[in-house]
Amino acid sequence: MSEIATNAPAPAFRVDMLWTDSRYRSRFFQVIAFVVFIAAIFWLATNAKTNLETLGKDFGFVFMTQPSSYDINQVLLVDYTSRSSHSTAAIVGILNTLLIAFFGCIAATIVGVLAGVARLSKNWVIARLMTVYIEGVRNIPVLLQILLWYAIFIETLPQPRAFKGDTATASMVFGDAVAATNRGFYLPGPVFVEGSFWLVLVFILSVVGIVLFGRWTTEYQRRTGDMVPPQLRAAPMLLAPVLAAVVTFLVWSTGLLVFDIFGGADGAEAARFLGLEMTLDGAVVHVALFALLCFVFSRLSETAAIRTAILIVPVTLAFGLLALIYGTNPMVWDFPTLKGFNFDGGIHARNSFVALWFALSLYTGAFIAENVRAGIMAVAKGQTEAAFALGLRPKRTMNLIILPQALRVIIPPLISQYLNLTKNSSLAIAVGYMDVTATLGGITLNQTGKEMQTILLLMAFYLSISLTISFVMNLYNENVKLVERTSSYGFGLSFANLFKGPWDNMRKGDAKMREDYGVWGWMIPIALFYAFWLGIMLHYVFIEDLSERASYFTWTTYNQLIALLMIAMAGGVLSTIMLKGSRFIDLAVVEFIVFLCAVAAAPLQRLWDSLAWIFTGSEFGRADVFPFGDVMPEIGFLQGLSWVPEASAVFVIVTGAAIRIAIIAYAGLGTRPNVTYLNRIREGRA
Amino acid sequence: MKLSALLGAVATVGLMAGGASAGTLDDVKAKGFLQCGVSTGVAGFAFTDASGVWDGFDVAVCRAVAAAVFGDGSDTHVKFTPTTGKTRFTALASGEVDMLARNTTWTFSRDVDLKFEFVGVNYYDGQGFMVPASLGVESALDLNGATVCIQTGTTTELNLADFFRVNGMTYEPVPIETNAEAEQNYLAGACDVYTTDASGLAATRANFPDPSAHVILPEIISKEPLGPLVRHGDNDWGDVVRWVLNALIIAEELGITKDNVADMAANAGDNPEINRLLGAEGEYGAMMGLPADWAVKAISVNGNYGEIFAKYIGEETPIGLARGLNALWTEGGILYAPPYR
Repeated sequence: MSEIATNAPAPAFRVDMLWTDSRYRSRFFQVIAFVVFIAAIFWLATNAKTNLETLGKDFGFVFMTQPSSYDINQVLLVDYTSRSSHSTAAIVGILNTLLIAFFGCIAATIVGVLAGVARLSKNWVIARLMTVYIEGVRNIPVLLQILLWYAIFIETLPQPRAFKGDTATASMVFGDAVAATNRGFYLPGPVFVEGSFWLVLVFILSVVGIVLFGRWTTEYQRRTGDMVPPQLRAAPMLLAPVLAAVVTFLVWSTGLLVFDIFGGADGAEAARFLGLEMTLDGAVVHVALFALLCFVFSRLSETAAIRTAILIVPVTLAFGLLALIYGTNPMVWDFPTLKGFNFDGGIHARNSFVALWFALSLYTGAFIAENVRAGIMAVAKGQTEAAFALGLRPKRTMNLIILPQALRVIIPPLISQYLNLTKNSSLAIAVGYMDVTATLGGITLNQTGKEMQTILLLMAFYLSISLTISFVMNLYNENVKLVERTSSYGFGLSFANLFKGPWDNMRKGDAKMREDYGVWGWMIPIALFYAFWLGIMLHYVFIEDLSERASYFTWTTYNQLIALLMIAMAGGVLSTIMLKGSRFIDLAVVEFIVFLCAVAAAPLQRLWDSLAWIFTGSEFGRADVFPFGDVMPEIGFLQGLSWVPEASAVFVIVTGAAIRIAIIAYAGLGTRPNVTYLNRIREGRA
Repeated sequence: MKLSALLGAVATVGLMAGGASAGTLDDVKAKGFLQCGVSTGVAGFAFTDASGVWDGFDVAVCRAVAAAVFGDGSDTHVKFTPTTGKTRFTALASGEVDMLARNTTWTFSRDVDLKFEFVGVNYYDGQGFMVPASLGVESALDLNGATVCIQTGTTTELNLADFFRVNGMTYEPVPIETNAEAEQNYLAGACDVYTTDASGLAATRANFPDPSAHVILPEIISKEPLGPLVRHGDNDWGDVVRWVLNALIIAEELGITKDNVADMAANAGDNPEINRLLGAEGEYGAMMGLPADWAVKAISVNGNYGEIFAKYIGEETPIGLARGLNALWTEGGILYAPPYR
């Protein structure tokens, strides 16, 4: 039968075979679908274009370079005035969106995990309370919750005026450190002064120390079965007074806690360490703080106590030492004080921000709580019983047995909750929080009337931020999910693995048995390099001060495209490395080598320039002497970085683009082998 | 998914823009009513009465236009779309409304770049500041460091930024979407100052529980000529709205009122301008594609400009605005309609 089938001559092609013959059918319909899809896009684009022309509106982005002419209340990191451009206003909005998304995701996770675990609690009251919270909050539209929180803040809290004068009806809390007003919360803000660099350095070293300590304890436990050596068992009891003393010293010396309980008017004051002031009420408060901290620290586990000690003791010692050396505390608190209409100084958390933050965290937290509950319930009850049988206490059972297994169920829905929170933050305008929807999609849109352009930019922003969050969370998911036999090739880079050293991040599963074990590690510096390069380009094109360069939107179309191509290339390589793993490792490496060659070529070009200058007297202007010099006069970040002259950059672009095309062709048309090209060469298979 | 979202948006914008092309006067006649964009609620200018019927100084312009087209300015022939400072231009550009009468400032960029046509000015205004009297502020120059409530997406937002920058002062803006929210924030003390057009301030203050506890500062920091507008490029429709507004002003000049308009139209006197306006002489209505008695109908709804002003925002009302700049040119104001001939 099969003999006949295989030897039968192929029937002549007839048109109806396109939909009757399974060999052609699927491709035929795919082609039709593709054509219809392209036609639809084309129709929509032409329709939009025609209609914009009918209205007499042009489609361009030059308006983004015009002065925005409006003020924004919350401006982070960048310089912004009403004279800055609309694109700077958009950046301010983006940063505000990222800020609320960042704090929102953290708070929602904490709320969600606590509520999710508490809803499973054996304590009837706690469990029912959590049920009420979750069912109540997640079934009310989040916009109403945002407005509710905002209304609560502005209607119930006192005005700044109420703090003023002898007849003040409101007063600051925590010893004149914090003011809760209906315009927001004013908190003390840290000010880093002389010598603070060393303080930060010591802090970073402490964090590294904690990581090293963690690796050591893991190793020790693997070797001996004990978590810490027996002689460290007493660590919490011994360290508790030291730690408590250290923290109390820090609090006292920065003047963070100055209570006025006995009527002594000693106000909030920075730099108390050198003044060595100590009043009676101050002494009482600090002794109480010391006692409380002693108790808290003595309850820590051995490893936690040692970690805390590593974190805070060196920093405190450095603090005292630096204060003695420089004569002032390296870090002081800037306290809010009432000046004119408002409080001034410190950190101002506006009510719009706090209301949005509360509402989004509680709302998303309710969903996360259900994810957490589902994750925990997905772990078989036998696991808990087995852990109990081994003598583990409930808390350790939860931390060591249940949660690690629950996480792989929790993480994927958690990603979408983070995305929801980020997207919901666009409701910010309801309470006047100036996120990107309010600046770019609100005021800029309204004042310039460029609906199409601003909305497209806005969608591009939300799309990329959502994809980034999902990407980072997927990396994390790769790390915690069950390791299967074949997972070594799907295993991406992880940020956590950066700390473990680049060469041994393929320990999972049967990775060690793979022939390309260890090759992966080499991708980490390459990935970091591309991330850095991408960051530089994005910064130059979109963020850097306009006085330093021409605005992107005023470049010629050609240069705009070149810049976009370069960004897309760097981003493309980065995401290929991160997402596709070793499948394209060789191609990515080749592209990287090309880049290195281009960089190495720079001195040669400089030599050429010098010669040209000597013999022709022409300036260093490379446009005169080098054929590629005038290709990209406006891509100044290449000119700014002396080690990458234009010609090398062009070389990178052209070669890089060719390689990208090759990669795409390889991915789309190639046979997608499951081992890398390098390995196939090694085995003589290629 | 990403692509379809993009396509959806493109399609929406495209379709919205598509609705804007045909002749608006014909469209309005065909559908049988005028769709008029007004504000979401500013006392005196645009508000709904107890039975939910729109009324006010700006609304009166819409009703007059509807009356000129259909002979009747009641709700059968005019429907209202409340718009915020943010949504108004999109609503007009997309064809969702046929005209906008919503204290909108006539500026170059709105006229030229946003492609709208301002048909005239129905209220000459300027931006002012309102503060609680208890604050003890007497001049806008004392407002350094103050928290200011502004309606976002308005010219006031831009004037405010310029005013504080030029005078070397700082402020904390609290951007707000609608007048009602601004009122709530201002009354709760979430901002020290509320700034918008002086007429809007007066209207807002009239709604307060205790209007006398709030003062409007003397500084007027901008020119805000407010007027009705239509889409650019449909001149026939622009003419209709422009001349309805002019007719109301001319009627005041000529002493035509709500009460005597029917009488004056029926018994043509020997003032040719009155006769022309009320359709007794010439074919002026037909030139615009309207009935000969269009002006009679327009004036019959709420009377002439002066009557409308007095009824909704004049000194007899809680808003209590004086005519000031908005008096006729013959009476010391700058209200001046081109001759009807």
